Amino acid sequence: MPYKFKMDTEFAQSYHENCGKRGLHSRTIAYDGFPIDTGSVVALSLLNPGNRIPACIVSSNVYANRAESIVFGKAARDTLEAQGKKAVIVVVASLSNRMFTKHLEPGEDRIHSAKDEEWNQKIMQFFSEGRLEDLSQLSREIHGQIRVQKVVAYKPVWWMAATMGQSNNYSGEVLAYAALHGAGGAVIQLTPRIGSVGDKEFDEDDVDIFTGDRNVLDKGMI
Amino acid sequence: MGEIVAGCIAPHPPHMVYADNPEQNEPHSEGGWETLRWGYAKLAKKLQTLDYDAIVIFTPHWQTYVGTHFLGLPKFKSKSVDPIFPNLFRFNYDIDVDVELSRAMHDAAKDAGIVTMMMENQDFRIDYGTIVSAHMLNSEWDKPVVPISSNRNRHYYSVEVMNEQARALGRACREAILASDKRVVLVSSHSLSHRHFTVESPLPEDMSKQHIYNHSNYVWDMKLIDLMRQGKMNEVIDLMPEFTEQTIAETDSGSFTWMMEAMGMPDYPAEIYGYQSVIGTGNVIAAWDPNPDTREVVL
Repeated sequence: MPYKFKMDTEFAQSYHENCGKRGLHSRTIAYDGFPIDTGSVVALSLLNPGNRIPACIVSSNVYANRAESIVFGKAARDTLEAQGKKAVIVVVASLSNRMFTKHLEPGEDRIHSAKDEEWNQKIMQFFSEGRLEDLSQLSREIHGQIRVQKVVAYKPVWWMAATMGQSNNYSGEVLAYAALHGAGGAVIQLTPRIGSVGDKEFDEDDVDIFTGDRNVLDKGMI
Repeated sequence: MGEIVAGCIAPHPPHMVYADNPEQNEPHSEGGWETLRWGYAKLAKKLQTLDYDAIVIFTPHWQTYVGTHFLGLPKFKSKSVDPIFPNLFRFNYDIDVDVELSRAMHDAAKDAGIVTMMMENQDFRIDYGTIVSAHMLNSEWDKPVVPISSNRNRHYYSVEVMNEQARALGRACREAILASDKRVVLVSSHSLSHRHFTVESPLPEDMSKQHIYNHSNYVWDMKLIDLMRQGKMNEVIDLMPEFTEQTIAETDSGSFTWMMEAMGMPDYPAEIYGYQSVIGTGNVIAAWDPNPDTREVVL
């Protein structure tokens, strides 16, 4: 698919610097021929036709887990606040991600399993109620239940929640939901509002600075 | 009648090409990773003495989730920029594909019940695993290649399922090669242990910073290499699930299992050309030569 995107390089450079201030290792990329990933191409083409709004694409660190993902989101928020910018946060991800492993005609498409379908419905219920931080707290459970273990964790919602302020103060709307070769695809929007809903205990660590793995086994605690 | 004249483990860290400074790659280095690169040079020299028609490469960086894919067009020309190390690898490639052999393997796999597809999009981007392995083994690029994708059975099922599927694909490819009139070199493009460091030296080729990620990975790598030296390949494949889980190994792609099965599970010693760490990963260059007259004890 041919594409041409306008990047906010000033934002990207500042975001990179703010990652460093919070203990993260990052770099900016400026090479001709760099392969923009399919997810970014699809999302930007459909959400931002004509490049009306400049974009900043960030990669998914393979080895990152929750602490780094949360801090990564906070560094994005630092940058938005410092530059006084209003932004739309986009996460490119499916809900359940088990696809059929055989060729499938579009008309035959469906969610891979009833379990995936139930979890997808539950996630969309949370999103439609604006419960983003609740979903962030449930991320590990979601990953274990309906995510094929391609990466160490279901990180998108951690980053999104941290970037958007770690709360449930949103109005949510599920605009579309369909099977994507067996995976669960949903287009969902969240907009800030006053007031909060939700009944989850926020029991995950809230990390501000990434200081590396804790290496508890090296501490001789036994 | 066709023949498999050699099988090679050819690791593909882009650092190999970066350190070699070929004219096709934009970045320039001061060298580095000589143990691996000199091993590669020796194996490449051996391949020059063999009579063969094509290089078949199973690559972990062409990941497919609906079946195994084969290239179906005769030529691919573009620039490959590594998404992970774009500072090291921006390679202008011009690759010839043996489509006849590619389609024969595709058809044999399909007949064996394996989900397959021919990739016939001219804009398809060749992965850097294929390019690095092919370049280091044949920098003249005077032989056509046949890249095979890695169907991610490991992600969807388990390493055990990956092993079974890769063996089935290996048997099908072997049948197709023997039924052809081609003499081929098989290439399994991967590291052994595969835990990366998460930071990079200011000078990537600073060899004072290179070492294996941890001792456990080193011991596992040595265990496998020892078995390869003894020609106990059935034992290696049996160990593959444990090894892959323990060392986050790139053998999860199925490439090594595929190659061993296609070669009839060798019971003779591998030629070991070198072992070295690249950004924490363990890399061995090895070859299996079915011909006892040309087989060497290298290391």
